[in-house]
Amino acid sequence: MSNPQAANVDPSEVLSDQSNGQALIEAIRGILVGQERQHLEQIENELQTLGQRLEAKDELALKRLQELWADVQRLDAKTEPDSLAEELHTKITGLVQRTIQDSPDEMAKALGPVMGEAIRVRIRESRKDMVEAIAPIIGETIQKAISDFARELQRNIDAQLKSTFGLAGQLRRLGARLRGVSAAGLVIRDALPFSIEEIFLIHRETGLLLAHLHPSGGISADSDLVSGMLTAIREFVQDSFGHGQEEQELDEIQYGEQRIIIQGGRFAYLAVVTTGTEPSGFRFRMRELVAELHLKYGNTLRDFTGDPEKLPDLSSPLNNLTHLPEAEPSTTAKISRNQRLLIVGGLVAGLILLLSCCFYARFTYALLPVAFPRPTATLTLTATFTNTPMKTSTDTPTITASPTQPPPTLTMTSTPLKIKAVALGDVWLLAGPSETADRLVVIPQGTSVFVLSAYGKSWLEVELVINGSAHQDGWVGAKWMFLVTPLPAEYITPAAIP
Amino acid sequence: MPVIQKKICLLGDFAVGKTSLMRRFVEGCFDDKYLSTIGVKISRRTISRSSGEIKLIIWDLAGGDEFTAQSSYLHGVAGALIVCDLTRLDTMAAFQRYSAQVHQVNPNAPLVFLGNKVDLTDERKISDKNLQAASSAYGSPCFLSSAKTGEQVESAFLRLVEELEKVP
Repeated sequence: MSNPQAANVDPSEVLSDQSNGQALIEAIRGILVGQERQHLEQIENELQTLGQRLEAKDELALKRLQELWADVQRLDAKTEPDSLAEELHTKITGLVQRTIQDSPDEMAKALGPVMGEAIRVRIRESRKDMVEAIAPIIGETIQKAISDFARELQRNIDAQLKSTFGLAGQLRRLGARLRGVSAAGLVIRDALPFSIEEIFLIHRETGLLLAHLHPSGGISADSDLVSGMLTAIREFVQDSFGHGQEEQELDEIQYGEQRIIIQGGRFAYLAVVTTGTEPSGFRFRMRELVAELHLKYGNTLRDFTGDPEKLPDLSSPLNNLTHLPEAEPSTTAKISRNQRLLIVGGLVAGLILLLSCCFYARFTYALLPVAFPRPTATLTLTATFTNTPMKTSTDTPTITASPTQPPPTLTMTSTPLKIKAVALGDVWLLAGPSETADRLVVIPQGTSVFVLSAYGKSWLEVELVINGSAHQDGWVGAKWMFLVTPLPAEYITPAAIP
Repeated sequence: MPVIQKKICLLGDFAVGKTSLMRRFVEGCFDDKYLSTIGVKISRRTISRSSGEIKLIIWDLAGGDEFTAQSSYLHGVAGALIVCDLTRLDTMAAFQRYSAQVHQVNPNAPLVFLGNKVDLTDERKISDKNLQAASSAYGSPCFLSSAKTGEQVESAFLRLVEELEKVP
């Protein structure tokens, strides 16, 4: 590129003028570095312009710089731990709150594992504080659960009480007494909640499922696997703990609140999954059901090889098990043979006692008048002496006393107690208390006589009623008479007074 | 159409691959991890056949000397697959033992013999000839299977189902 200034100078003129050596040099210089010079000048101009601009902006820049510097200082102050913490606290708190509002589930998911561990650590380090903090919550929860349970129990007890006054209820009470529990305890026991979750009827040998029922309507996807595993478990327990005793079998498995009650049969067994306390008689019903199925379908069950078409309808009998009766006379189901014998014996003894009492009462009532006779009014003549004036041999008649017969007076006296006696055999009534006394009449065996007196312990004075009206008194040996009531002492005299 | 149920057992010495075979057949998967079976594992798979559906209840019994204590698990078995490990010669001796025990419970139970782990060609100890001879002695079919690759697993089980259908 040629130097523009050099381009304006005619080279020939330069060459001709030897005095312009300098000009020549300049020209050469212009040829060689003309462009660069031009470029340099441009740069200088630009720099100048920029310098001017800078001067104008300098003030602005300075101002901005000052501002930046202030910011830097401010930030510097903020990086101090305390102020930084303060700043972060505000920011993080707001951030967390916002996140909780916007995405609560995600927040819970994120914090869940950490919170679990934190609670564990906290419990480990300060158990007491945690207990105090949680106790009110747990207390309320427990109270609520107990209230719900009590309400349910009350409803069941009310239902039970409705049947108490019937025959079934009375029998249940009797059964409770015989078993040594109170009737109230039995009512409570029967009122405890109970439910059947599932029923399995399983082929004993193969473990294949014969029938399955889900009364609560839940989903049971692996019922045939369950039946197989139950069979395996039974076999395992039998092999491990049975010690060759085939009659012993696993009959219950407890898992948390659930209980699997197993009732075995020869070709099939029943497994019932339950929750709660089973009512009395439930296992008996299971036994009955298994027995009934074997009775009806024993051959079918024995020959079962997996084809369900060869099985009868087993759902209906299983369904009957789910119908729990409210008032069930379970005493006959639960009372043992000895207890039954005891009940029967008690009833028979009671009957005999009753009859005996009736007989004794009648006998006693009949003899009451004899034992306790009522006092009767009798007419007695009593002689009394009164002074009556008598005529004497004096001129002047004088009145002297003489006995006179007063008019009879009626006085009430107690009739002497008549002691009744019965002849133990045919015996002579004698005239006196002696074997040699005259015989009067024969007293037939079983004849009742009245005892008037006794001579010692050997002789009795008796009054015999003949033909209902005539009376005959006499003596008879005491050994021949049975005294219905003991003889009072005043009747006995040491000597006979004929 | 009603589903016929059949109980079949997987028998063999320990670590021959019984559980893996069952998993491959039932779930279609394989796991390299070895966890010894304790007692018994029970699985199920339903096979559709021309005659109807057959639900196989598969009892995977623990292998080993303690088997005699658990022979009660064989009660009611309809058929069995007896498995040996092609990389361990001693596992073939179990064929006779297990066959006898199955036939003690059910003389008509069909058997299928499997030589498992055929994928481990470098470690193989049991030849095809030996296996064939052993199975022929019982008149039972045999398969060379691999639970890892799935080779012949389905075929073996289906063959057993065919044999079960023949039993009256």
